[in-house]
Amino acid sequence: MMCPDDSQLAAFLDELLSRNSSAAIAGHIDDCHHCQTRLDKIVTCDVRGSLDIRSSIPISAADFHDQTAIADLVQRLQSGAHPLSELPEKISPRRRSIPAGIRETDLPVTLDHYTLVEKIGEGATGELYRAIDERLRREVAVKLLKPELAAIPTARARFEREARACAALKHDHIVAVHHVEASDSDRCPYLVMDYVLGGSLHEQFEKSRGSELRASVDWIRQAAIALQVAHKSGIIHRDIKPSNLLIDESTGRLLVADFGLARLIESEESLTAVDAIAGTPAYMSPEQIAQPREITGQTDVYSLGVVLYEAITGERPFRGIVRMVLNQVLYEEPASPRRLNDRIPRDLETICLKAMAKEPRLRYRSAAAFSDDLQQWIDGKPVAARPVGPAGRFWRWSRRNPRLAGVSTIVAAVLIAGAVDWGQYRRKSVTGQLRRDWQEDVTQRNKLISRNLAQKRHAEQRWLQSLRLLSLTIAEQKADSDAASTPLTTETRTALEALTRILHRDELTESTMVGAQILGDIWSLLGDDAYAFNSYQLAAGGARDRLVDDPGNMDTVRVLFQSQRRLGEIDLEAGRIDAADRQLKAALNTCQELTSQSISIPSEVIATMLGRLAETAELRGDFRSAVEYYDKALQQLTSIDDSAAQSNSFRVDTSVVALRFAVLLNRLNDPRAHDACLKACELCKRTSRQTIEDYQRLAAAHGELAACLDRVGRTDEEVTAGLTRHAEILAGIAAHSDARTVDVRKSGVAWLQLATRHARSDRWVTSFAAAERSVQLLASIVATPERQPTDELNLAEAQLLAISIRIKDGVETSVKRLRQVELRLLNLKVTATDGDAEVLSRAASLLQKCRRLIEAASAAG
Amino acid sequence: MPESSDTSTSITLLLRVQKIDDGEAWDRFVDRYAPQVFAWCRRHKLQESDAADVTQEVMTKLVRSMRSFAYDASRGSFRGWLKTVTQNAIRDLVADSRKQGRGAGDTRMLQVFDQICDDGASADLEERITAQYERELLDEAELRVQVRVKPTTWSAYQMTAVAQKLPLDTAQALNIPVSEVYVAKSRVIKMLREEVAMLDSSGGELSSIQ
Repeated sequence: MMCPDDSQLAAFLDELLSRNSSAAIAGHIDDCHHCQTRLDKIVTCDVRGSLDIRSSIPISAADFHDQTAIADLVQRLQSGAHPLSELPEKISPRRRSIPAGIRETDLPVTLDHYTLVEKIGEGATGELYRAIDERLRREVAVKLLKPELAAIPTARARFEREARACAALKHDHIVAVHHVEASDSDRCPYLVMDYVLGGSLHEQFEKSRGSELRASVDWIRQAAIALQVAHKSGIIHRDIKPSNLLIDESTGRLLVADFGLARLIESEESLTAVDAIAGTPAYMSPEQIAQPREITGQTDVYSLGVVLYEAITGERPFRGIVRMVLNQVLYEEPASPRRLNDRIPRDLETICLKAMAKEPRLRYRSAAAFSDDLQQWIDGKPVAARPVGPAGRFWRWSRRNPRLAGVSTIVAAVLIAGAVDWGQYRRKSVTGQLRRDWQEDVTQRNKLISRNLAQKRHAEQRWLQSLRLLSLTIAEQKADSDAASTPLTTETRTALEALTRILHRDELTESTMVGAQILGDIWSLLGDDAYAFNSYQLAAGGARDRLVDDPGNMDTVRVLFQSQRRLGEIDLEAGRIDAADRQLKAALNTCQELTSQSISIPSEVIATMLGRLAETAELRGDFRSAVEYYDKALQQLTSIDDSAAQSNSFRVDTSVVALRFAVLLNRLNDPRAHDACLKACELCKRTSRQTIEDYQRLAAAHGELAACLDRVGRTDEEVTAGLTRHAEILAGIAAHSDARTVDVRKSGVAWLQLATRHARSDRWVTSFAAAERSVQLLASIVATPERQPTDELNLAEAQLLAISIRIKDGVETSVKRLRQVELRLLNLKVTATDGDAEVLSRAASLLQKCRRLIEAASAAG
Repeated sequence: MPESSDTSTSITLLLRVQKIDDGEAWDRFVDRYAPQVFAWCRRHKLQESDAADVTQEVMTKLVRSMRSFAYDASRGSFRGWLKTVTQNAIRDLVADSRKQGRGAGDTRMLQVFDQICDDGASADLEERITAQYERELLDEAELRVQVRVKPTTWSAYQMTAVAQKLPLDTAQALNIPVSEVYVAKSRVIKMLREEVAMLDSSGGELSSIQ
């Protein structure tokens, strides 16, 4: 192989080449040193388009000598407080005048009449010590505000204020605050609380994960009761998490600790910076992130719900780095607990998800309602919470958006929401996880990945569900209204178009592949074949890609089959006969693969597909194949029991196949034509016969039958009976209000044909009656601008037949009507163009007949 | 379960450091940007001890400037904003030094500030800050891209683009054809490019993906 040129190399790198040419170039590159050098130049690290980001930044900012200076400086800067709420004039440990903290090595330390014995915890705002109250000789817990915060007057004030608010709370399930000490020049402010021996729920989780379900639930219930008391006093905890829920070892009771971030509900003024996000991300409520000013007690309900979730599943609903967690809290639904552990009772799951509802309105109204429902569950009684199914979510959504009327708009919005959800996952679900992965062991990582995948699948499933819902809605609307009206709003349509475009073959998962197929179905329902074609093509491509790795997956094969079949049908509609032929044949193969795996495909689906194949073959002039396909199609049809369960559309589809088969066999003079015609008549009769088309097919079938009987030389009686039935049905159609000119014309011709047949066998009375009906029908066309020369010729012929019978019977003596016919024929001869030889010759022969009749009439007269 | 400790970098750093009473953001901001500022001081001939003081001043001024002039996506690009806050920080620095200089007669410091406050030096600092910001974008983009490609693809990129190994050696180490190394590297770089462009256009807001 010669070296590829630059554009070929570029196309190779961009993975734009076909598999074969790509493989050829790859093979060449592997051996060609020259091409490798060329590629080195093409593939640069130019990430921003113009600049190689890696090399433009000095990796080492300073020389070696500076490194220590920098390290020192960085450390100095970092040891200073963040210069935000209270920016010190100069950040320097030399100048800072803040109360010194307590070093652990210095313990025990005396603080007023408390002896700090041991450091037992450290939070964002303070340090917690076990201490002895020397006056009362009892154990207490002392919480000291962090020195760096104590340096900030506003933070100090907040701490003191909140501590006093908490001191006012007295309850069995709240850690009691005994004493609050304001700071002075050389000491941080602190508060003194009950010392609870036992550890927190966090430690309980570590110890006995999931084993003590009932006990955990009861602890959560106790916490909810405590929160209710605090909420009543206007205090919101704002930082509920397992480490703030303490278990008293001696009593087994749960106590809520550390209302450290609580703030007064009544207080308009907040000491917390407006947009500061306070709290532990994993347990934060969506409104705490989005509207920190509009927090109510329901925020604590949410956080406690998250604790319950962790208690029952052993996992936090949202994990990852801070930013990812915040995003998930705002936008992503947690995986349902039972998905993680199917032994979790359903009611408990429902309670948990209700407490964790993103919207406060959908949550428990109060901590009391939450604790009541938990109590109900513990007592084995029915709980108040109701599971939220897709329908529930749907109606909730529609209630929230009353201005968007119209079901399809709502469905579309659900659909878009689903798509956005899914799109988010597609881009980033696993992204932040990776950083954590570095710190996790392998098992933990695998667990995370599989959970993340589960969530992703969940989002995709929801998306798929919305799509199905939309497809059903459109189908229903179409059934209700007439086919021409489009049941979609512009927004929905735009959304669908966008959806169709964002799907890429490379990124299709099992669900989105099915989604592409449903999108195709939706576009088909909407009559937009171009978009339908794209969607099906995507689905088929995706299915083929997946089958390479997983050839046995019959669900995928099914998607492939449906898509190929529809692609073939669309090609056929559009007149792309060869393409249709290829697609439908591929579909047939796929179908055989499915049936060989004993997966049943509805017979009507196969029959319809075979019918389309036959049609395609017919159009290509391949009559032998066409006959074969029609035959197979009919075999499929006859294999179906004639049950009442068959839908009308199925009956219509089968009658179409049968009729086309009959027509073809007749045309080919095939001996099976007679049976086929009978079958067609029978199947056409079985349709609901509600639309004019049903009757048209029925009439056509009888017409074919009559023609067939005539051709194979059946008795006059049989043929006439067939023709009569044909003409009668057509007359019925012509009388219908929806009848078009073409229906009337067909009917007129049929009656004329019948009249001629009767006349040939000397059945004059019936012949005359038929001729008169024909005259009536044809005259109504001739009176309209839609008349054609053949209509006038047929009318003339019918009139001449009727008059001739009357003359023969001696009833008609006047030549007046004959003169009118003569005039019409003469006129036709004059106006007919030269090219219309058939019209001219027929007009001439009719004129002759007319003149003979005039002579006969004059003679009789 | 232990609290997740977050050792990663974040493109929201520049936003977080101005917005949130967030010691962690400040620490990381210092970590990333202080060495650049220090290097800048040294580049403009400051002695080590002066450089440390000036760096401290600049860092504080930067945060102040960011805080008083919050980033607003509707008013312009993030880069534009970054440039403006850097200029503001330097302007404040100059104003301060003049004041101090007059009062205390500390002529040495005045000289020091004069050295770094000419236009060229200002532009250089802007460039360094922007480059650091770009570095953050790239780090973030890498994290995002890494999870979207196969491990081999990522390794091929790492070894060739970052560790500057030869494609042939990389292919051998990963046991794949060398052509695949090129394709992998090209694909990752393309994805990075898209990701960086996307992050950049959002200025690193929390919800950078709508």
